[in-house]
Amino acid sequence: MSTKQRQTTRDETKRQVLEEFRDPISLTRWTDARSMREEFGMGAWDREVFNWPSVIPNCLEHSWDSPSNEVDGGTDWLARGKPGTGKSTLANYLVVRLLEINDEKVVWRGSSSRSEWIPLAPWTTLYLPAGVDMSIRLEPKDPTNEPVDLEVDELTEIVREVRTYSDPRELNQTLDEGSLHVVYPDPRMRGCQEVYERSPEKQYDTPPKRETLFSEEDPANHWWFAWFLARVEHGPHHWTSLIFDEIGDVCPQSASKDTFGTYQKVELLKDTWVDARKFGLSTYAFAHSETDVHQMIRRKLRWRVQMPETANPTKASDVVGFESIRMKHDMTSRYDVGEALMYTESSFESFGWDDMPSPSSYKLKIAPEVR
Amino acid sequence: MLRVATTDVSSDFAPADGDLEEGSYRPALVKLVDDVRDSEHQLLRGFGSRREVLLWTQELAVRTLGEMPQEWFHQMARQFRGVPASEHERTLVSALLRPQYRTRDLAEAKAREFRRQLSARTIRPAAHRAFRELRADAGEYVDDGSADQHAPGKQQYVAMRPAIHELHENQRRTLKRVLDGFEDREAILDWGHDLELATHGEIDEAFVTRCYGEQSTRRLLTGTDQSERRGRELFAAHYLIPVYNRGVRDLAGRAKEQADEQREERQTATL
Ligand SMILES: Nc1ncnc2c1ncn2[C@@H]1O[C@H](COP(=O)(O)OP(=O)(O)OP(=O)(O)O)[C@@H](O)[C@H]1O
Ligand SMILES: [Mg+2]
Repeated sequence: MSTKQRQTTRDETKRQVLEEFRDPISLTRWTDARSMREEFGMGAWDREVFNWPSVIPNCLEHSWDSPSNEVDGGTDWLARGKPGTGKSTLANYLVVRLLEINDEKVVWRGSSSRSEWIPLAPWTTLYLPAGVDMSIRLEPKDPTNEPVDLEVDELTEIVREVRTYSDPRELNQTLDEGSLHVVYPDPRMRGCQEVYERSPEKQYDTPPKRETLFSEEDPANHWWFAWFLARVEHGPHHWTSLIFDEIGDVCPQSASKDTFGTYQKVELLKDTWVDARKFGLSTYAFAHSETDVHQMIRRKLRWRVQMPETANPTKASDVVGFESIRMKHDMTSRYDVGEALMYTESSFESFGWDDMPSPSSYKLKIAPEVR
Repeated sequence: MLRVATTDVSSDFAPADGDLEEGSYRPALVKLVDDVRDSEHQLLRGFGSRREVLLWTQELAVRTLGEMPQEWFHQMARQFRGVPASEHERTLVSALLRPQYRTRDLAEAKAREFRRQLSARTIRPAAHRAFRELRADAGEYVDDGSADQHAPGKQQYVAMRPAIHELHENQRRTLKRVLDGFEDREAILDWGHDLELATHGEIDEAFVTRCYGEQSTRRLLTGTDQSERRGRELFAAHYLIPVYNRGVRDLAGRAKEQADEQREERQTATL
């Protein structure tokens, strides 16, 4: 045996022996993920409960040194299901697991019409665009009740912290590991065109009658295309996951070369995707149906989650970008809310989650003030 | 002897007895309604301290047989956190306290309205669910043969179920102990045994070890300062009461068990 081999064996033994001990207990181990798990009664993550490591554990555990059969780098999924089939609830549980397993930076796309992250609000850092007047309103689910308007500083009664930003690159520098961030896009698109111009290999047609691809006139959610690019090109490259609820709103199948250059931006996103994996950026997308999402993006998504009440596909031709499908029969149309099927081209596995009731009967709506 | 097992042949011919004819579970249902009513009275009257609020919360969990939303307990716990950088409690806790015990201004009319809302929106639906659960559980309690056993007023057991009553007593005792603080480290370990019963095994397996092992937690649990006392209230609100509720659910509820069984048939892992 060479000296080098002997050293490797010794390291190996040491690692094995050390693994027999539990992690030391200290207050620093009271992470957000830990306190979320206690709050929602979730046991520790255990990849062994799944029968097919390449499906669920592979998608949720991020690593640069994966077991064979599993991928390195960022991952993704597209979860599709009709309204009310539990997508947002699943997204909340997913966040807890991502924080727990990878200690990563989770970014949830904030949207002016929804706030489905509210169950996780006590651990949330909220990002708002600096210098933009925001209307913050608690809307009752029961329309006979009155809405309640809030000031920005009253938001800390609901979330842990509110931060402002004025550039996607700057924002990425301030994200915390092991934390959930809910980000509302900057309607003024500050810094977006610069991020694009600093990636000279990315060249797309400028929309008609405009000088730039990104502009203040764009729908605010176009900011996400620039954020994605900024994260890949400028880092920091810690594990990061984007929770992309209702992705169809941002990258619709119907995207066209309109006055805002929607199609070009979808192309930009597609072209950034492969690098995103390499730089540890994962995207978990949710949509009502497969065809809500532009097919350029669908082709990039390697995992699918079929929510209940709709049949899972049984032929590869049902899923854009898939060359094979292992399911022979429909399973999911009979599932109840709280259970879904996750699949890749090579395997599938069903899994469940619990309900996560909202702490309030009010929805939080945050949107730029209209003047 | 289980009440349901007493319907022997001879009783078919026994003279009609009002109580028995309506079904032996009625007193349990009456007891449940009385208990919830009492909890509501306490709420509407308001509380004299944060400690009273905590004891009431625990009792309510038991009296509604674990049907209060789990999230509600977490919401209460967050309220116990206090407003950062001040001694004030948050609005919700203030609203539960009687005016002279509050540390922040709050219009009394508003506070009363809040308490009524809590009772109407959250407690009543939970009590209703508990009632229906119990109704389905007809006759599941021990019959000790004494004449008055079916009179709800004479029943000391929650919903007339001794096991739940025992859980309640364990919870109340362990809660009081932690709020009072421990004499020393050993007392924490001893308390850990009772906690097992009080949470019906729902407590995190490392919990007691951490209470005992982590220096800052230990200091909190054994300290005698005002700030440590308040810290223990927060600790109980956060780490104990929600778990007590899970314990009640586990002991009283069957819905979840059934759901789990169905899941197991399909061998589905939970995320
Ligand atoms: N595991 C579960 N068990 C029971 N109920 C659940 C479960 N998961 C979600 N639900 C309930 O199902 C309803 C719909 O859930 P959710 O809002 O997550 O669905 P959604 O697919 O995001 O809907 P939408 O498309 O309208 O946004 C909610 O009332 C939620 O509480
Ligand atoms: Mg949703």
